Amino acid sequence: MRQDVLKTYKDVHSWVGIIAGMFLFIAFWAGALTMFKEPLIRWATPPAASFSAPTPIEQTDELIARTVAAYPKAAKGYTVVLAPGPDSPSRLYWNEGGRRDPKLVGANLSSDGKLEVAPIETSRIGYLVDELHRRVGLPLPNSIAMPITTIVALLYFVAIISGVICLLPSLTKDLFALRVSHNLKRMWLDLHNVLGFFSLPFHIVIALTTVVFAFHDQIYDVQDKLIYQDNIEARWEDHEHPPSPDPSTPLLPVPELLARLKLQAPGFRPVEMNFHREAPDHGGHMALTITGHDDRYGHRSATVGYGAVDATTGKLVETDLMPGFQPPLNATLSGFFTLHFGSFGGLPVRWGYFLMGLVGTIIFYTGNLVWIESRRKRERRGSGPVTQSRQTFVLAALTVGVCLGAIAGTGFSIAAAKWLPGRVDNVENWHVGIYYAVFLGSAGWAFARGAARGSGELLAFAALALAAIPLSTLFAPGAWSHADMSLLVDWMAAGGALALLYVAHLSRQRSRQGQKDSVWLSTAVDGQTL
Amino acid sequence: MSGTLSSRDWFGKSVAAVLLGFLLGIGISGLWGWLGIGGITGGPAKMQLNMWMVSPVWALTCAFVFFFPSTRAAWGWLALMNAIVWAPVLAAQFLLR
Repeated sequence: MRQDVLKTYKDVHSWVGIIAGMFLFIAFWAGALTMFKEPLIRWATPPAASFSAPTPIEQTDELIARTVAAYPKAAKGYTVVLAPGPDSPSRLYWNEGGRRDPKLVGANLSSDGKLEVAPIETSRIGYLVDELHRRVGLPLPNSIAMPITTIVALLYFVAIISGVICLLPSLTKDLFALRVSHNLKRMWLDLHNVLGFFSLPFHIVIALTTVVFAFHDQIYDVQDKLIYQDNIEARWEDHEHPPSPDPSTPLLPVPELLARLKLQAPGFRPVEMNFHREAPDHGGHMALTITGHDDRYGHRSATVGYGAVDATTGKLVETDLMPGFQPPLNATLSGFFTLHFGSFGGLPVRWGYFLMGLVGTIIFYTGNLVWIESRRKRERRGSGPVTQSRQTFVLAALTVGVCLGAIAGTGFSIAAAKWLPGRVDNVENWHVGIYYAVFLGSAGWAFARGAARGSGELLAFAALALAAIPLSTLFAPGAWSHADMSLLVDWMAAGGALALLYVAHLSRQRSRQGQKDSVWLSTAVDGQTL
Repeated sequence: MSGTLSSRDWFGKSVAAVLLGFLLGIGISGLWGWLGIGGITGGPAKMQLNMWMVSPVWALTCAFVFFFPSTRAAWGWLALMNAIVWAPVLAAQFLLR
């Protein structure tokens, strides 16, 4: 390959990497956590005091009838929970609030036949993790954050392609080499290359789908003007709706609906049944959407697929988003979604995506390390101490502060879930506030202390943040543990804390006994040359 | 054109890729949308696919734009590609609507 091409793309790779790298670190860290959002939300949700054991499924229709009679808003739409658990404790819930500002209220029948009604208080910790992921860590409204996410995704794609171009000439020589030696740039670069190259397809998929997720509104708007001749709204309706049943026909009982669904879709495991009254011009009947999964197929959302059922006959009437039943084009589209979400293949794929997310964070982190090491001024024999440039100190502090700050922030914010409920009014705001306080504090600390000292300290601090998760379960006054899949959260956090503690130990060693001309040495002085 | 590539003119090339690459993506989605299987009345699933097509075209343009020898070449070639793609799209909108 021509040297000038290599040099050009090396420059491009360096700069898009520096600009996008830390946003991507946060997005990948939070994205990895979303893989276990369901256990996380369950872990963070206090045991429900207002509901006794969930109503048996056979009594669901009685529960619906009594709830609908007492609460007119519930008559417009309600959801049957098929496997109630701590995070969704009642058999039935409905939205007493608006579309944009939902207030979920649960209903249940006690064993002596009393109707129990209370707000559903599912933890909002999932929201924090999701939004950090979607907005690449920025506390900005969607209208600003989403275009930024789009830009970061495009830079990320440019980084992927330029990185491959830079690696190609020496691919066969470098790919299977991990040279752990005195040459730190070589070592970090080998690690960066091997992780990046082997997870290349994953990263291409994530980058291209992110552009769509963050920018589809604008793309549709432009297509409306330039392609659909201002007619996109009408075009959306350009398809056949399933025939709607007569609104006066009685609905089948819930257990019967489930039995008939099982006959039609044996591999599909339903999670929720969402009943909603259609508008009069859409038939005015009670429509039924069933959410659930079939791990042999990809799912449209991050966790589930959807099927529409005629609630008067139990027949599956719309399968555009139903795993295993989708027409080819819809299955293809769901493929794009599921490849981003990792919502196929069940738990093994979840773990795979979690690890790929962490590998991504290592790629972005080591990218910055390579940038720093390749700008190192070498101390040569007899040259005396050298002063490293200002920019390497700044980038080192920024990398350490931002990346470790994001880990520490999420750790403490998650741990707070076991302290906040019942003690503060707006738990969600507290989660967000704690995250950003810790995040900004860590970034400030890294600059105040310098990267060399700061890195070891912040690593230990991040380890403490993760350790706070199981410790809060054990020791926070009034804390709970559901003793089920949510124990995974405690164990993973404990494992993460130990790993970070070990790295903190290595980092302290380096800051004391490392190479003399390194920015990571505690005695290194900040240079003056910018 | 035998000049050597450099990253100095990154700004002009990047702007060309972001603007004309996006327009090219929309154009290709229009080509497929109007003249591909199902045509412009292909229904919601096809419309979603039309939208998805923009992303790879846009991103690939951003990634490979630095191969153009100069900013002027980047704008010129991308404008030409847009013209080639958009001509049948505009014709289809005029003739098939």
